[in-house]
Amino acid sequence: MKPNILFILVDGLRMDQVFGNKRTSITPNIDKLTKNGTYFDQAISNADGTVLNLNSIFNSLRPHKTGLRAINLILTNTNYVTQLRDHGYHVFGLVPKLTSYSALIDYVENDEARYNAHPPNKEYLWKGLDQKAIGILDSIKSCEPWFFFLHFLDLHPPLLVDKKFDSEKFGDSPYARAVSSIDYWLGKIIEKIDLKQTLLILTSDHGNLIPKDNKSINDIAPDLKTGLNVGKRIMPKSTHSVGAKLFVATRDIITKVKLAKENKKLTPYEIRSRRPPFTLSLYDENVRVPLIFAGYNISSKKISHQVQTLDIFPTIAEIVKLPKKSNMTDGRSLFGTFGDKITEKPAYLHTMPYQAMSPDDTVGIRTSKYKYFRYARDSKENINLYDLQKDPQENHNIAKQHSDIVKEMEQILSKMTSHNLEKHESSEDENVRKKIEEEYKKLGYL
Amino acid sequence: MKKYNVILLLIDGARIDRLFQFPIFKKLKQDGCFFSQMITNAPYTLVAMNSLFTGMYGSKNGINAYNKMFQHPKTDCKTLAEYLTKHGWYTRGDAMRLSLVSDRGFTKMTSQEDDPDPDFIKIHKKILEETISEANKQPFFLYLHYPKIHHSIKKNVFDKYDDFSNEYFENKKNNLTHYDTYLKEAADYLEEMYLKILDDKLDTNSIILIMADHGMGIGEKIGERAYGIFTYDYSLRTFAYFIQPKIFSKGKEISGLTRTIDIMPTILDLLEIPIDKSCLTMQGESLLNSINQSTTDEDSEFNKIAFSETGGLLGPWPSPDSPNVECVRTEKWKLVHNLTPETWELYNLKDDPQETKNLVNKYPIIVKKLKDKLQLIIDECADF
Repeated sequence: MKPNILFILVDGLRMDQVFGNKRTSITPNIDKLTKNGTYFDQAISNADGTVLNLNSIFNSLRPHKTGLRAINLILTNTNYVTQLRDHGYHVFGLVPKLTSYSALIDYVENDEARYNAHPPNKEYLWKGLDQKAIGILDSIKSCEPWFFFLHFLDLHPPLLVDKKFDSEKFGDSPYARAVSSIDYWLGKIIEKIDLKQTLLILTSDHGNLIPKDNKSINDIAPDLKTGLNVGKRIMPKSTHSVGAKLFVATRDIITKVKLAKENKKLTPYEIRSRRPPFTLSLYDENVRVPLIFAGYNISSKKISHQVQTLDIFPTIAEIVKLPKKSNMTDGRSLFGTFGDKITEKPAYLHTMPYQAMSPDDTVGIRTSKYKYFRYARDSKENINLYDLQKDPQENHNIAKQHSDIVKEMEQILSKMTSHNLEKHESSEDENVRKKIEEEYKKLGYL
Repeated sequence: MKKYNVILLLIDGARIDRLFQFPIFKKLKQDGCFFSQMITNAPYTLVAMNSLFTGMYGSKNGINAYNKMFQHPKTDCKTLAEYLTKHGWYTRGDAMRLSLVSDRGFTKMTSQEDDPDPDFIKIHKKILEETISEANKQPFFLYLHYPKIHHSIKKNVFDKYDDFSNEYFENKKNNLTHYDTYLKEAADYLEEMYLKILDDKLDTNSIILIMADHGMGIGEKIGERAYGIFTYDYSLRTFAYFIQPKIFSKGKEISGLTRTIDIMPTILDLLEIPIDKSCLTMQGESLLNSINQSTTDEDSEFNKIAFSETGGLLGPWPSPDSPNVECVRTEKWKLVHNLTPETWELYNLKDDPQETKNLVNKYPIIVKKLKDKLQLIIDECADF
């Protein structure tokens, strides 16, 4: 009998918040998993945003092969959910109610597979979402083997911390406290499963920004409300529109001055931490995520070599003994390496979404030694190179001093992107693509 | 059940604002009910037609992007032809191209796509005769797609210019003159077909539906030569004529907001065919109520919303796998979300029908209201 698979994805969970000594969150349940399972403290997500990275995970393909402009989950013909299903797995899910998840919803067998992702009714683990997960676990006992995919948004803005965990004891930031809370509720879910018969994967889709001293750009900007209200009361109505504009402009100037003053004392890493959420970024705080494989006789081990989230499904496939796929994926199984020394592969990185118009659209390469990235549309612009071993927070751009390494990284990058999609498609896909292209020509579109 | 035939004459890419220079469009208006603010859910044939025939938006039926060509809507959708076939109608179609509309439910579906210069008047008259004969006294549903405006646009616009060609965008007047000649040809076709329908006395026992799948740009917005890339009214706002003297008062115009996804529920309602509740629920609503309502209540501005979506094959931010431009529209307002550059546009369509003044920063409350409506529809499309 094949093991069940419980795949937990905590949106926006940073590696340094669950592993290592620097964290301030309290995570006894995750600690137990790392103690008893194999965990990777240098797992890299291939994109800084959810959809692109989910596409990488489910298809084990680099984002440029699943469509960089994708706004929806795309399950290619060689995706792993289909493979699991084709080999007897019942597929279940608990995912945010977002159109982007439609493709996965087509696969799941449970009815209540989606939960509210948007305020004011956003559902959090601490607000009862754990019970939905447990309810599904209870209902699928007779459907073994199962693959159950859970995606939690507790860390996704708006971050709302459970009052029980909102104290210093549970972390030095709202983010760390939310992590402590998540750990508690994950514990409740995990205790419902038989880990001997279940392979458990815990990971994330991307990292997050945790503002230095808990001061984000919004906390630094002066509050306009009082001034505006007073202004509204004492000034004639005809001046309100101009007055409001003046207020906003003044606020922006004050924010800029205050920020510049505050930033003087900060490192580039700390300055970045105060940028608005969802700022496109390939720094480690946005792409380094935790990865744990536990249960089902997985041995206890810590692996510090660089791996990628697109390696997750090839690893699952090997553990649950699915037939090997031909070489159509970019990931590889980490299973054989659980006990051995791993050979590292450079990780392809891309910001999400791949915006034709965004100047911040960035592409890069990461090894455990270096991080390289530059503008996606111009290989000569915004060139960044960091020595990750000497400068893990990526404070010092050494691109100018090390043009040889930049050149080498650029070569790796162009080699990766030169493999076009067709090479990785089945002949059936290729035929469909050709047929559609022909049709476009006939319609005059191309 | 009412056993009317349903004859759908679809004029691909007909612009509503250019119709009335041709007498046939006036004549049709005199003979039936004219919906003059009908919004298509997608400004291109593939998604527009599959939505028309499923009564739901592309993001719900699964056909929501150019690269979904050759596919059928989700199996849970019941198409109009499936409904009609099941209830005893003979169903026949002649599509623009077989890649662009699902033939699910049709007894017979053809296309003239391999004919280099098809004479649609001759061909469609023949198909009409064949249909009457093959239906063998059963009621029939006949869908005839007239694609020649597109053919002319292909030859004179797509093959010559790209979405940014100065020469094209600087000559709007000229482009419009050319467009009118293509529409003239369509009007001639329509006149012949309509006369044939009257000659054959089909108006007595048929619901005649004449409409367009989408409009057509003539260079209004740089980045879009004709259609499919943006969601401005020149390609989204279309029309429909319903003609059946026993049901529709002659010469009536419904100027309120309606949607092409409302057509299928209207037909089922007219024919008194019960909705199959085991299938995906249609998002359109029967228009019979709006035919009977004379005025639009001011307060109802945000009650009826038309949603449209697209993802250009070309243009400034191509997205052939999934839509990346979404919009919601009321009679007065339109909110556009361009997902790729992540920008928003708000237009007051009454004051600014050309959609030139983006008011997104001026009316935050309207924007918020419309964003909520948009999110509701997006969530609804994801509901199964």
